[in-house]
Amino acid sequence: MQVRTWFGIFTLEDEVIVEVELFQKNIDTILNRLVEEPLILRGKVSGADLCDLAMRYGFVNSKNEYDSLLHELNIGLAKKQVARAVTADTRIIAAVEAIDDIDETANILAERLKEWYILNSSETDLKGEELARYITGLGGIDPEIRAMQSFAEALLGLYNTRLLAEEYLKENMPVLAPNLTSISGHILGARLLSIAGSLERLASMPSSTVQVIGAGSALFKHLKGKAPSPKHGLIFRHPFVNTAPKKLRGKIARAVASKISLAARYDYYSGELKESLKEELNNKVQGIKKQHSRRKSSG
Amino acid sequence: MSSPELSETGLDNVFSFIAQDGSKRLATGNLVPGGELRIWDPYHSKLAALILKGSNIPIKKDSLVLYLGAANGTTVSHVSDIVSQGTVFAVEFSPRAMHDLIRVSAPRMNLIPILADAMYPDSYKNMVPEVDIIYQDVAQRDQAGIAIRNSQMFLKENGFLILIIKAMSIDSARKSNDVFNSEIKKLEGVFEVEKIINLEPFHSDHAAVVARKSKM
Repeated sequence: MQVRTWFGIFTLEDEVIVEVELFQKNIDTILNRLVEEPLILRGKVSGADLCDLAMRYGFVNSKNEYDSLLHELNIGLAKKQVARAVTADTRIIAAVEAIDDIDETANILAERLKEWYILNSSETDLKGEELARYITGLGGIDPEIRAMQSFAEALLGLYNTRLLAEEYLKENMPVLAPNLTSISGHILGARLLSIAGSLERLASMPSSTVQVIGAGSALFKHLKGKAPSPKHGLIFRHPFVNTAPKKLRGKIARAVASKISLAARYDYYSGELKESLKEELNNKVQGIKKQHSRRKSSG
Repeated sequence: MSSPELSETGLDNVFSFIAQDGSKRLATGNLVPGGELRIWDPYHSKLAALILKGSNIPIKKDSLVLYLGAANGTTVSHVSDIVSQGTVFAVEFSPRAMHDLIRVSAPRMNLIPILADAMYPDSYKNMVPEVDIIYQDVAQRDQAGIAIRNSQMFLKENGFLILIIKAMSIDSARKSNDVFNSEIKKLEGVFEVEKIINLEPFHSDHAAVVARKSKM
């Protein structure tokens, strides 16, 4: 029988060690081996503690050296595994979360800039990016104006960062999730990924969950029996849902969620664009609307 | 400012003192060379809350501890301070949290970070030996089940389980006390439950269970 430990392979016969093949004492090569197979890091071989064996067969000189190598090995392994966990979807999620943070921050800063600007000047209808651009164009050496201009430049910088991040999403969402992007658009699709945590998890969610993700507090109120079930969470931002008549929103949200859920599954399991999905959703939504108007005219 | 007077707590390397606002606080001696005492905040750490609520916890300076749900490593670093001659095996599932945990572990020779899901103890059985104590604080559903599976694989006979039950991760609609009771019931047979402590006011909807692994 062979026992494969992190510093070598022991061959046993009737529980007795008959042969030892020590590995090279090089953390990197041991690490690469460890990523491939679960070598034993702690425990016993033939009744003897691994550390004692490592000393007995001359792999290390002391318990201190043994412990320190093993510590280094565990940290190296964890680092490798963390690096491996960064995938295309974690990058997309980072970008869309950055966009949401920028939106929130830029709104606060834009309001502040306007409050500051109107203290000194006459009223203005300009706001947001337009106002910031206008202020940076002002001449003058007044320290207050200069501070305001610097503020405005920082804000313009944020708007620009948002454009770049969105460009990144626009390019990469169709690569990661072509079907999800075609049904929900790159921003909403990325937000759904962000809340689900990964494409794999979005693909494994039932569509009834997809329908209400992002409506956490409403859902918990409902589960405690204090409110009706939420009709939509994040997918309210889908144009089919937010333009639908109020009465039909629930039905349409359900149709959109079910296609999003299908799309995520196609993306996760096949990765190829299925053109017909978008048309099916169009037809379904048109159908719901038609049915409603028919009922209205007959009722 | 004069430094406050430290008292022993009965736990290795853990001290208490009275803060300026009159409340009792904890601190641990820093194991990292050159470090001083580090304040241990009961509002951030459930283990600190458990100790402040007067519970004697069975962690000694030479204990081997399997710590499930190590997160960013705040509480783990204090456990590492306590077990100066032992080892903490810190299991954490989230790569983001592990990123921070690795930084905490690097200067601490007795702290071993393991990226794995505590639901599947098989996946780290090559890295963890038999331990004296399992400390578990995970935000997963089957908390009692995770404790039982890990104890069967790693906890020595008569070893201790310190289980933090997060009611909200198990069922957000049921009353916390009902959830605590049903989780504790699942431990019976495998453990003898010694103490159940509600962690209010430091942590709402959390209870700590101290239990001893029964003889087979």
